[in-house]
Amino acid sequence: MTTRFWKFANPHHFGKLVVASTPFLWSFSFLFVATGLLWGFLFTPDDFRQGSTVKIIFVHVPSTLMAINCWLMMLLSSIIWMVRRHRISILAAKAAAPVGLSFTLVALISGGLWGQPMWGTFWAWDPRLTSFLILFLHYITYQLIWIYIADRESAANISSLVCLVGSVFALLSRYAVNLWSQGLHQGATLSLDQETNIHNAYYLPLIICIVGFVLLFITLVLVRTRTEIIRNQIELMEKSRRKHNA
Amino acid sequence: MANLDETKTSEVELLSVGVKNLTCYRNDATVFSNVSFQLHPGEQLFIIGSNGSGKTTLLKTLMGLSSKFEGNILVPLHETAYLGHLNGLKSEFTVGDNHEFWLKLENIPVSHSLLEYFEIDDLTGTPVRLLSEGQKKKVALAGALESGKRIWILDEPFNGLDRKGQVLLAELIQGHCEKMGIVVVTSHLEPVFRPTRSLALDKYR
Amino acid sequence: MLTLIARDLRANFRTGSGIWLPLTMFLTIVVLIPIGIGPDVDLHATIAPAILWIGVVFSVFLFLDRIFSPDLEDGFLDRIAASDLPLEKYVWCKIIVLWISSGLLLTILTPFLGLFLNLPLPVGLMCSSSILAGSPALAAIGCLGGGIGTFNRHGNLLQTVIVLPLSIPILIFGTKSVIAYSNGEPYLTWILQLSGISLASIAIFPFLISYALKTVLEE
Repeated sequence: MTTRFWKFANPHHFGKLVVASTPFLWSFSFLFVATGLLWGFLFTPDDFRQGSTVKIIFVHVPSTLMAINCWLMMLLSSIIWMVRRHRISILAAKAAAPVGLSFTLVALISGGLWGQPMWGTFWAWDPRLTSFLILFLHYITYQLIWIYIADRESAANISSLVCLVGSVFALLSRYAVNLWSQGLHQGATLSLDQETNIHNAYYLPLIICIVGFVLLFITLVLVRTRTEIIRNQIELMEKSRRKHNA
Repeated sequence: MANLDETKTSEVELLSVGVKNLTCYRNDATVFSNVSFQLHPGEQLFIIGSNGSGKTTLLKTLMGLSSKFEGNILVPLHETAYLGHLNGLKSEFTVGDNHEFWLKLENIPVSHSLLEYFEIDDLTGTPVRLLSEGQKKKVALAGALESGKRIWILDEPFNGLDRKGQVLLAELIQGHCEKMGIVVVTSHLEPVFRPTRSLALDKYR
Repeated sequence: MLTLIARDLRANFRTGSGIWLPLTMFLTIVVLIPIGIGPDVDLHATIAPAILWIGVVFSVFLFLDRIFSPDLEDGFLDRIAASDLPLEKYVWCKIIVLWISSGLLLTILTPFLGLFLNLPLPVGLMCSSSILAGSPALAAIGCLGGGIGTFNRHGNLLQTVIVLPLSIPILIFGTKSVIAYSNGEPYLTWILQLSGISLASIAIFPFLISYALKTVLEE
């Protein structure tokens, strides 16, 4: 089992896997996102208190979920890099960072747009909002390390270090911010045992949206990782060519 | 030969610097490949090579400061004194402070014998920033070598030294080897003495 | 190790800036913010813990590029790494020196400057003890930023960006403990948590920072 898993960690096999699976992944993620969003936006009733603004949930909740899960995936990849020194693992983390950054940004913006009509303000120092802002800062730090450290091996080491420390401190911040006050957000919106929290009419399209966002994330990360691998190979080739010429 | 103490022999045998099929990388490019040598007590290795041939990289790899290599390395690090091509002196402190700092760090009783050897013991009260390059090199060498370690690994130690300083250092190295020490030295210049072993890194590109 | 700490402290004292600049920075922030707000004394007292804490954060993070890069440039770090002294101990000394020459000094100064901000003396002392509990963690974070910042000429940007998100929880715990105290709520947990973070940081960060420094040395 494990050997078969690590087989895909070989760049060559990985590339083949990505090339073979991307058409399906693209079409499925497009299908799910489009269905979920169209259903959510056009064919669900307005909320009796929130009106049609409630429909922003179909963008807001999936992107929030993916913003956090993307960081977890980066943390996992960083640990794999530190322990097993596996190149694809750290390249996957590098590839995932801008995706996660975008999801975080989408979550923040959609939250602000939702907050304005509901809470009367685009921004409040509510615990969840603040911890998302902090997550956003962590993403920026991570991204800048890849941009500013030229040597790839060093950048891989340092970025995984920062990801590790950042995760611990992001959790600490979450904990600290939580004790500020109750905040404006509602409690759990989605859970398996308490479906009553959210109206059934919203439940199914929301689930479809989430699945779509997950698929979209996987697709983007796989494609971007392959791009990174190819970019690496090009750099190596150019280096050896320059050495031959010299 | 027959009277030679058994334990002494094994100690002497243990103390060796060796490298087998060493390949070093820098910025994902190979610097040199398949370098092998084995040094026994009393031997000096003079590493010669043009700029960028990997002299510093080789020494750093020997000292465990770089992990980007393949091959086997044997260096007893706790018996090794190292000085890179930078001096590691703090310009705001005096010569004496700098010298004593390195000795205290290694828990070695303070002694100025090498400062005297290099004829700079009258400078102990002078801040390092007022010294010339050659004088700084002498201070750094004195601090690194006073530790009494058996193996010396020195990167470009002759740089900046005047003719007399070079001769003094060469004699110091020869004397250390006669006392069964091992010395690894790099230089891009012709050696001022005849080393027992030499290695031209340019051949291993 | 004491040799190393004593030597760095002496260097800080001798150049002067290492000690006086954090203090000046702290004073500047504590003076400028009330002037910017105007003579609203009650408002000063309300936001005083935040002002003092932000002053501490800025002063500790003032000199991050001076922690490791001089040692890297003159070859000191190479010699330390090649010596018998573990790199972690060297880093630990650096954290302690940074803490003594910023955090500890500001701890002593805080109650007096608190009076200046219309903060009653007990609250000022509370603020000071929260800074005492939290500033070691800030020093450790600062050294991490300084260590990673040695990578290139964009170091300044890099270290600021690293240090910013990491200092947030310390700031929250720090100000929260003072506010809880002045509101008569239980405050001890906050201080204890802050001390816990500091102790853990001092214990763990040297290993992380020397990992970063080893990567730098390989370049």
